[in-house]
Amino acid sequence: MLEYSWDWSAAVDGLPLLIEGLAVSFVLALTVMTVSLPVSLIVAGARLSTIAPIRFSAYAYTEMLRTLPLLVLLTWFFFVPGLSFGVNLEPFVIAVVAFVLTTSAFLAEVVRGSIQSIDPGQREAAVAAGMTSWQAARRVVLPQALRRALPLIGAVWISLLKDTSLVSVVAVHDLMFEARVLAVTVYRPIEVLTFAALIYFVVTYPQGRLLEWVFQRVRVSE
Amino acid sequence: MGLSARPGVGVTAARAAPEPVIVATGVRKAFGKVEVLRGVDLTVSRGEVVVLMGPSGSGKSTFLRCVNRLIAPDGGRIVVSGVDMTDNATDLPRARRTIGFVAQHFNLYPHMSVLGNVMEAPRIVLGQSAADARTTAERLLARVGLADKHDARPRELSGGQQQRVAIARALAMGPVVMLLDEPTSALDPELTGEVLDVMQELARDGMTMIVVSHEIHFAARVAHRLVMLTDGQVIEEGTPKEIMREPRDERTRRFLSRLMSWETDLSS
Repeated sequence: MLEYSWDWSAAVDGLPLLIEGLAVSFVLALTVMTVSLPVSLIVAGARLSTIAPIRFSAYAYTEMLRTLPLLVLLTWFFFVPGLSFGVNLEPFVIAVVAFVLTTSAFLAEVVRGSIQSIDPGQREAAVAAGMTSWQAARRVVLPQALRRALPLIGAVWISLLKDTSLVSVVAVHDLMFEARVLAVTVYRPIEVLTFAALIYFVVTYPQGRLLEWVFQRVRVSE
Repeated sequence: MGLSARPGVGVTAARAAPEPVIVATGVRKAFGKVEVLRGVDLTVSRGEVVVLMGPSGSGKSTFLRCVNRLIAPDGGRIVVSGVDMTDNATDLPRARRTIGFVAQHFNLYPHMSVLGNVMEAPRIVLGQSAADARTTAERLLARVGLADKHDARPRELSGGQQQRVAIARALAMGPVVMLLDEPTSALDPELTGEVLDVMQELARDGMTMIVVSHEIHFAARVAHRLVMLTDGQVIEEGTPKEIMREPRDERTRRFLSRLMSWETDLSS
């Protein structure tokens, strides 16, 4: 029988390094979300446009990017620009671009769904009162739609924070990357990776609870 | 002073010299293969209250939405206070400022307070200051009997109260005409009275109105003219008395007797 003697000291000693990696993960997720939200609003708006070419472009954007695996996209941006055009992108930039593409496509669908869930009478009332389409969207439809989309946006945020662990394969020094480096240098992969998993949990779980609490509040005040 | 958002407007004009405010001629609209409006002609004079009746599916709501062009008609012409609503060059948002619209399901903005609902369009569309918009809104809410509900959310109000807010919201833009699409048909019976009272007061103040409604007593008491729309055409029009006593068209007779028989059933 395999007798494994656990030793957490290396993992604990490596904590500062892992925290540094966590900070990178966090900044990455935050950057991706900050860029993806406005992009997704524009794409969702385009998908609901009355102008066919605009609508179709947005459809192509969301459908293509939602069907491409993120890992494929990441490695593609890692190798292809450098090898075929001689453009070497910073790993962090590659990660942001790949994540923004998929996240914004997904969020665009979330936003479009919630816009379409708002009673058409709302827009009608606003337009009948003399508002332009844009004013009706900004003042009446979007505030309601985004409130409805909020729980899903929160879920996207949580899974984004965890999914950033993928970027370790393109040499972004995130939590997962640091954990893998630490694991092989101290030769304690089980302890270090378990420790990293624990950090992900400790960071994301309270956020999930916090978001849920916020959504309850928002729903009540609607 | 009356319900109008513009002090002094409309109190007198009712019948003096008929000045057409809404002129609709040959209005046509089809949804796919279904012809909903098949050449509707209707002229409404300043201060006139027209009640539009007809079986469901007869095109009443569609016609009303053509007047402020929430729906674009396929043919015909609609002119509202001199502005051609069927001309594609018309600045529709601007034209709609003077056409108040109240829908069956109120459609209050649920994310705003009652006061916010009434202030919204004057602020956003007309660029009124918060103070001005608030003064008007408070006055109108008082007129519809909801002075104590400023800070309530729409969902906290009864249907009748919500519809009265919707009327105040439309009046806040200082409209020249009001279009009301079955304003009481989503309400519980005991709540229709409070909305009809507000509408009657509005009529008394000289507001030009087209009301799609099956409230026969309201029509008898308030309407200057009753217009029967059936299968996308005006089949009969006249004073409520004329039409209710002696409907000329068989379809009108059948429609009214059905409405009346229900009414008598209830009162007996």
